[in-house]
Amino acid sequence: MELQINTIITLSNNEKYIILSEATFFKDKYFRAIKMDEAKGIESNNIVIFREEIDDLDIYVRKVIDDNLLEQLTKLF
Amino acid sequence: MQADILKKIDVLVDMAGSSVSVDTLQAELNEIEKESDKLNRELSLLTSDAINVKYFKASEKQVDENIKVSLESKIRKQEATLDELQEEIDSVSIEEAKLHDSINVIKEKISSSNEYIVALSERIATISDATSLERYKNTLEIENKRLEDLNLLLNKKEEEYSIVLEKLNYLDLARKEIYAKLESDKEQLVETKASLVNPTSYVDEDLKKIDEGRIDEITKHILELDKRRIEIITDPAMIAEEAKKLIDVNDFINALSKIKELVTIVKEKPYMNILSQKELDSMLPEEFENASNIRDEFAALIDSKDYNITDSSVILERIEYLKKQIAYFEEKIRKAQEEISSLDTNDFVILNEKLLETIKVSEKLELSIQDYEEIIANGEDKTPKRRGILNSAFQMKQKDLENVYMVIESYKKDQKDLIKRTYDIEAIEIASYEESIKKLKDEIEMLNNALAEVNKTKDVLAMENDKKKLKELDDAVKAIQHRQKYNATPNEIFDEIEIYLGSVDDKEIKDSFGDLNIDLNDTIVEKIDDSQIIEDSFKIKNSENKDEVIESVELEDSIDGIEIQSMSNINSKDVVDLQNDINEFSKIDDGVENERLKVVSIEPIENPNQENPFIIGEYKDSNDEVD
Repeated sequence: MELQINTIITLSNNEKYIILSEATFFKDKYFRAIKMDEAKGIESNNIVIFREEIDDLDIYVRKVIDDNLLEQLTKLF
Repeated sequence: MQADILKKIDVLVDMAGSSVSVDTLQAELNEIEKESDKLNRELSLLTSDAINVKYFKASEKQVDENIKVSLESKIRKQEATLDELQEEIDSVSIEEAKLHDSINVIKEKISSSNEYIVALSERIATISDATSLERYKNTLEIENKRLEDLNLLLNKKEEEYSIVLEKLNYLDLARKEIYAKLESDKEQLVETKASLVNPTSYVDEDLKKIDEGRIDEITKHILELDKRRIEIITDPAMIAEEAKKLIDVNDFINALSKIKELVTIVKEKPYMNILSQKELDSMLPEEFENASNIRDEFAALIDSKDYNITDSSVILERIEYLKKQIAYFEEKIRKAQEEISSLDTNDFVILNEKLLETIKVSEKLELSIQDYEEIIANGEDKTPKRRGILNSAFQMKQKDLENVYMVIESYKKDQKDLIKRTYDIEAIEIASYEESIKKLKDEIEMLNNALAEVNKTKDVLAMENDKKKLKELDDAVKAIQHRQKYNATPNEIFDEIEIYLGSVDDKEIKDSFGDLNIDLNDTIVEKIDDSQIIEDSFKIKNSENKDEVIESVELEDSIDGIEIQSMSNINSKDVVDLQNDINEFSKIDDGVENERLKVVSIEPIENPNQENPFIIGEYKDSNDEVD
């Protein structure tokens, strides 16, 4: 299964995110996501952009931290 | 926008150099499918289990069943007959034994009787008494009669014995014949039973072989069709068509995948796999000029090329050398002939003249000596002194004559040497030169023949190779010209399409959120109003210009004035700007955290309205509040 909009993803550090939107930039897929708390509510102040990385059959994400990249990506979302 | 994408796909097809239309390919593909279906059906029939019925020879099996029954019956009868024969043989054997014993007894009796008769006869010969003689004679007569009877009986018994032996032989022969037949029938029965048990015994092998040949033929044909099918479906035009169809149904992910395939094909073409168009723009004119020059130079070279000579130079050089050798030997012959002529016309004539002159001198001397001899012989008016002088002169003349003869012989010897010399020159030296010339001429002829053959072969090979090379050079020029038609690399075109489709995709996403009553823009705006969307390294806070159509946020800590636009507000100019930004971005670092987190589960939001009421409700509410 791939990362898709309208899905809840659970990461290896047990954090959960709702995928809100998707964009492709330089052939990489980026997802805008909002963090969920334990009660399945959302942490409204915690929106992140992930870059998807597929390694064999596993899917990994890295948080985008670079300001320039964030600037570019926010135009796409 | 979609039209642009389709146009770009067409550009990629053109870049790939596909010249066949989709309709043609599709028509061929349809034909291949039909043919393939037909062949597969036939193959399926030929390889199904039911086909074995076709090969099964039922009538032959029935015949074997009948043979089996018949043989079994026959064997039973033969075994019974053999038993009967054996019984009869045993019975006759007993009879034979009895007769044998009987004959032996009779023979013993005859032998005894003979001995008795001999004894009686001896007694009769010696007896003198009449009565006794009479009695012995009667006894002898009786014994003779008995012997006669015994002989008759023996003859009879021997005849009987002979008949019994004959019968025994006949019975034994009959037994052997029946036994052999029984064995043969048993073997046939075993074979027949084996055939009946073996499922392959009644298979029509000839028919099966014909069908197997057909199966091979069909398989090969199917493989050829499959190969062609793959060629067609991987033809750039076909891949492009599929991509377009996928775009039509908004399946952008698969469309991009197809376009990527197309790009891969394009990149295999010359000059298509260069990453930067700028690099190409600076490189191609020079490449074109170089390639054109090389092609034109080679074409000129071909025009002026003598294919007959180029590859035969070694042979021709040899021929030239041989011709020089011939000339050398001809010169030698000429000189030898000159020498002969000189010897004949000068040396020999001189010698001859000298010889003739010397002979004349000798003749004169001879006459003179004759005169002296006559004078000395006559002896008239000759004093002793005068006779002494005459004798002395005579001896001097003789001495002179001997010397002259010696000179004559020397001249003759010189003449002989001269003649030998001319003979040697004529018969040995000149002949040797002529022989050498003949050999050289033969070699030249052989080389000329070889040259004719070599020229034929070399011509074709060299010409073909040159043609091939010229075509390659021309193709290289055409490839550059082809590449020069485009002002973007395949990768760049792909990126543009990807961005376009990504934009459309995002719009679709937005629409889908709309269906779920989630408005991403509202979400952003709500966060803006909250002014506290804090991410790891930045905060998104309220825009100062929230009344404007384009909502904006500021990244509080690190970036000021960065605009976040809703996708609905991004126009083509923005895309161009974005492209510029992308180009710019290619210069910056990766821009992501080092830590990579694995996605351990992905769950769909089953009912967003219920599961996450906050998202919908809060966002809507917040949005309302903002409004």
